[in-house]
Amino acid sequence: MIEVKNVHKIYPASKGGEEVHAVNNVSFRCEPGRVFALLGPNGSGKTTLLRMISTLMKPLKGEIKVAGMDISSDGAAVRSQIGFLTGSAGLHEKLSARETLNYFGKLHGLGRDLLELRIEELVERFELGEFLDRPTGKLSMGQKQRVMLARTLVHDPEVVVFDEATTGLDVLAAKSLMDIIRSCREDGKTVLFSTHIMGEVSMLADDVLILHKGRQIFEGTMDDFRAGQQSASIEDEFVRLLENAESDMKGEKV
Amino acid sequence: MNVTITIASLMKEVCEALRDKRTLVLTVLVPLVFYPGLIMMAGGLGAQQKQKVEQSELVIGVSGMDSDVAELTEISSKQKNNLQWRSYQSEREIKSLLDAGEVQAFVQASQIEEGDFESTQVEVHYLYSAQGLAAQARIKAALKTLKDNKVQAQMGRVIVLEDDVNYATLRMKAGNQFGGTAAYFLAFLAFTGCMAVAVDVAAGEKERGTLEAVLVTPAPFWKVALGKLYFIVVMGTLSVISTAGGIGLMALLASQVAPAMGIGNIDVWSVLGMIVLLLSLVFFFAVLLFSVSILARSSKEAHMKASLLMLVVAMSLVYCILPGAEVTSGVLYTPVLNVAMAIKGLWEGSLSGGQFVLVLGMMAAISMLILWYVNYRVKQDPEKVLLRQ
Repeated sequence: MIEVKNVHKIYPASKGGEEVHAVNNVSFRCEPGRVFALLGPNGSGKTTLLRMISTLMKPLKGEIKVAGMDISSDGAAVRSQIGFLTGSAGLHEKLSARETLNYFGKLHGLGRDLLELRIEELVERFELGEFLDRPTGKLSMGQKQRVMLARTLVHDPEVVVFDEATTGLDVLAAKSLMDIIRSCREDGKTVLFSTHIMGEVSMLADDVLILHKGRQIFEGTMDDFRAGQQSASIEDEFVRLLENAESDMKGEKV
Repeated sequence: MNVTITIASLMKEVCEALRDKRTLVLTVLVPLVFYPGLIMMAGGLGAQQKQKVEQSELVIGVSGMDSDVAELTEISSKQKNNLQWRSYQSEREIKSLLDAGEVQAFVQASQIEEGDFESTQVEVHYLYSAQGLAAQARIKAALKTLKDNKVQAQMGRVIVLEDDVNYATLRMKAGNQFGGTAAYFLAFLAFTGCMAVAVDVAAGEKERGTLEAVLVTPAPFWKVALGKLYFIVVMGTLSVISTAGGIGLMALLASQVAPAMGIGNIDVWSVLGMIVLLLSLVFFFAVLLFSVSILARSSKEAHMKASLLMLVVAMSLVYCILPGAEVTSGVLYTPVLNVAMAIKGLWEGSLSGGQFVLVLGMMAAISMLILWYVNYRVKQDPEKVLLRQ
């Protein structure tokens, strides 16, 4: 489970710029066995929020709990229960898939026997067998994505976070990733994924949170979202919500 | 302490380095083969050129001392210095003769009367070229003998200067002659060996986003960082071993140099001392470059800062190859240079135990200070330091 309460994050002003309120009073809750979608345009604060959940960053204010543990005081324990896959995290390209899984398994503190067992399972699940010992730098995008997924799940985490994980993938690889997200839900894991593609949300999500300029402008189940829909398609509804939020913010400034 | 994570981090880096041809070339092949090869080639070509000039016959124009030409020719014949002395009465300017290549040098003599004595003042004219310089040296040798002959004829006796008696041992001489150069190469290539990998293991991983994947594991960052630091030390040490191997290979190839280097005269303790000093230097470079790399915002910034440091290191090391460079208190307190000079001192046998401890202690203290600073910066703002901005 993930619980986020009144979280704020401000980036200090860079030279000649202003400080950025990247996450502004955001609260939500992701339940085990459900897929939670974090939706928002570029720069809405999705990645910052996910980085805080995965303990890479600390919130300025508010509280975040993962699997019942606070990210600020129990960072290492949280990290042992979370798998974080981000589109921006690369692979060690000189290492093979087997070496990658072995290395990350050790970083997660898995013993030799358990690690071997996990690698076997992941090789079968993600069909890594044909390129298991090839340097990952020589793999296709889809194959790399499978290795990254296996790396994320090597310690069998309770909570899985995907940050725009389908970016740059072809249709088949993206579909394969969505199948994996579904299978994580079936395994009873808490799944949180961020995207700016509405189609992915409608296909996968049980719950959804829409962020715009750091603020949450919608939070509820997908059924709630559809029930309140005023536009012809969910893409149009997403755009409508963003435009409404934008005009509200302008009104606040005036 | 559980070292599994540190070992895993070290082994992962080693595994990557073994598959990276660029790293292996920079840390092993260049110090082992390229630099010694380059020095041998330059030395060989220089010696060849020197021999060619030495064997060439040079024509020397003479005016104002025509009566001495026959004696000078005889002296040159005895000295086997291939000089052909030729009298010139012409009004032509000396420089035009030199420019035309008619003569390679010109000796112009004029008579001066000083009290009861009649003296001859001799000027040697030459162009600043390989032949001109060779001619100047040979002329001076011949003129000296001519002068001695004349003094002997006048006074009945002559004072002959023999070689000085030098009480320096072969080890002292060799250390003085080769110690500085060897220390320069060992220290400089220790730096380049560390630099070849330091930028990639921290700034490179940050840029590629692979560090982020490591940071979301429960492994404490300092344990992962320690594995990376050890890896830089391993590569720096490998570079030093390759350099030492290259220098040894060079000495072996130029077999006449090997005994002159006096390596056989260095005792085991001094050799061990040199190894310890080099390890302290490699550790210092590893700490310094890892710190630069981890604090840099990009690989480009890390490369730029490391290159600047390389220039500083290269410049500060120049002192140890200067003739007459000695271990002074100023040198002992200059990081990096103190290690190079201490190695030279050990080779010469002139470094005291106190100086050895001082150099080691200073390098260890500075390394620890840098590590403390990096740890402080990481703890103060881990997001800014460790994450790609």
